[in-house]
Amino acid sequence: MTDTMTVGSLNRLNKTYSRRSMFLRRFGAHKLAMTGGIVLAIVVAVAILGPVFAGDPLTLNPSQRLAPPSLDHPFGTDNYGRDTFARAVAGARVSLLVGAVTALITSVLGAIVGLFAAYNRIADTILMRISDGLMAFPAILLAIAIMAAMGQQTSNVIIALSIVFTPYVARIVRSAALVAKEQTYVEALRSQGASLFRILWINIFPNVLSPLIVQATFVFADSIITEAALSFLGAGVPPPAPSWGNMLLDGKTLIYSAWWMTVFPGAFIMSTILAVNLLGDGLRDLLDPTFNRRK
Amino acid sequence: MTKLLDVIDLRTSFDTEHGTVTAVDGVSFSVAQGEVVGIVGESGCGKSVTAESILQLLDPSSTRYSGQMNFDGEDLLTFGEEAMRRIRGNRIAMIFQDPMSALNPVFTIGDQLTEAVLAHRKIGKRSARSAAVDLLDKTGIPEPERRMRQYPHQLSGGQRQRVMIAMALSCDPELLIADEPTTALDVTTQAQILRLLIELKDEFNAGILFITHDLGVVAEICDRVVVMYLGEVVESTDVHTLFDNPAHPYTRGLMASTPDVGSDPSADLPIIPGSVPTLHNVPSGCRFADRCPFALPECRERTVELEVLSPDHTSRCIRSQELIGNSPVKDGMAR
Ligand SMILES: Nc1ncnc2c1ncn2[C@@H]1O[C@H](COP(=O)(O)OP(=O)(O)OP(=O)(O)O)[C@@H](O)[C@H]1O
Ligand code: SF4
Ligand SMILES: [Mg+2]
Repeated sequence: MTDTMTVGSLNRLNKTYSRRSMFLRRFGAHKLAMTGGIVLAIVVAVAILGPVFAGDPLTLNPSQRLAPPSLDHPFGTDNYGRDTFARAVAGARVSLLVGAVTALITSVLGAIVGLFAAYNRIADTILMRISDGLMAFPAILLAIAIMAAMGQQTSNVIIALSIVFTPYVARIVRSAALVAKEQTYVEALRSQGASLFRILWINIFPNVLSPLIVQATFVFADSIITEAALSFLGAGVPPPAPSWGNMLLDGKTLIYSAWWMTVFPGAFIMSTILAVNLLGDGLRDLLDPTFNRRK
Repeated sequence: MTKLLDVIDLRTSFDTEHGTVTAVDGVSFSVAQGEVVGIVGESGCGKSVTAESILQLLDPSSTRYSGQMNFDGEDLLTFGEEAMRRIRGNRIAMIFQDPMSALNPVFTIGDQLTEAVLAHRKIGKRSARSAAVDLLDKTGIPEPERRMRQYPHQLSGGQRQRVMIAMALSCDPELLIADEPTTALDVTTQAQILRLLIELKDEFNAGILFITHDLGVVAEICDRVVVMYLGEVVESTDVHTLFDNPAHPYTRGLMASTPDVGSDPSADLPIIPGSVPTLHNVPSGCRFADRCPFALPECRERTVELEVLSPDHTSRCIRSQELIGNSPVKDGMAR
């Protein structure tokens, strides 16, 4: 590099000025991430617009019990005559809400715990031992135990899932922050009299943002699955409110006579999780600065 | 000249998994206003640890300091973390060896410089920004306005080091610690940066503690020199005496292995045999004995103290008196 401007350095300059638009362009070119993004966008749109076009998920209709898919009931009805489509759409709302709020809470808590642990050895020992303890339990068992202790409520599902997944996020943030912390610029900042707050939150935090975002998408997917599993086991979202998990539970005993009660919520879970995971994998590639060079 | 920084018997030790190691062991030196003091020595001699100890930048949970570091009459070692934060970057600034990673990659030069200015002066964001441009301009970087909007990776090593210098100057420091600021740069850029440092020192009348392993650089900019070996000062004197009359075999070894301007680059330079021992097995007696061509049996028998050869010349060697009379190993180095 020289002090004189060359065409090459001009190009480099323009590129960084439009970092955001460059990211969007690369996102568009990443087929798997695009597919995941589009599918997820459709599920989100269905969840939000559900009340407009789908019927009421709670209306009982005893004369229409266990009706197979028809024009009136595209996904059929369940053993109480409730519309499966309306319930799957309402379930999408619950699942996405649980997933999104859990991802948000774990990101905030994980970032705080992870950054703090990276910077203070005593805090590190305490926080990481606690998270070792939490991670030693299978996620679902821990979630059931917490639900049993707190009572069956949708908000408690979110709290339980946040407790379960925060350690995973904190670990990722901590290891990224430990790398960032060893860079000379952190010592340079200290030599300039920067406060701990300024070093951690203004200077190190942006450097751990990429892994944090990627991890948050995986937490989003994992908490949708875990919520479904909890509800399937009867320890999640309390009935009669629909969720994909307790719809599967309702359909389980009738799987041979009313396949539509399990197949449709199952398909929703599968496509949502697949979409979120594709998106997360894509983001991991796109946010990894070494990825371009690898191609 | 008044003493700006007076380090007396500084000892810095680390608790490691394999026990305590003392990386800086009883080091004393001083820096006066407007003076450039060099610390030289091979890699691993404790130069950086000395510099970091002055600002107490080392991990507080595993580092212990003792001794005195009088800065403007007050002992920095008695300061708490809060008081030290007001010293750092305010009255004592530091620049680092590796300009590539000394700037945060996610922010523009302008953001980082403005932030540094704001941290020290109670002014608005706009005037901080224009102060930042002025500082950049002062370091002679071309097109400072445009640099402000660039990210660190868009600058060359020399330009980044100028940015670091601008940042260090944002608070008119009384003392500037430069830890191998030119080691990563090519020779021409190195010469420019050294000239810049001297100009700025004269303008601000600051003292500079200049750390390097390059005696050529020492000859160029330092007024006085402290030679370190394995955590100890082995020789300390003014720059002319050092090159004309080096008293310590280690100093002589360093000089012999420094290439001269104009010398045949392919000619084999003598090197000091062996390498710096680790801190876990510090030799008893003279620490340099295993590598010293002048070593005698009694060198290993007792600790060798610093000997005062003349009012401003000390050397840690039992044969200093004999050696100082002899002409330097290489006449080319004498200036
Ligand atoms: N945090 C630490 N814990 C334990 N030992 C350390 C620590 N920091 C430095 N040391 C040791 O202290 C000694 C001196 O290191 P220092 O970085 O001061 O060397 P230096 O003279 O600056 O070398 P260089 O020219 O390579 O920069 C080395 O042996 C190093 O291993
Ligand atoms: S004391 Fe002995 S071994 Fe040590 S530097 Fe002097 S002559 Fe060499
Ligand atoms: Mg060093």
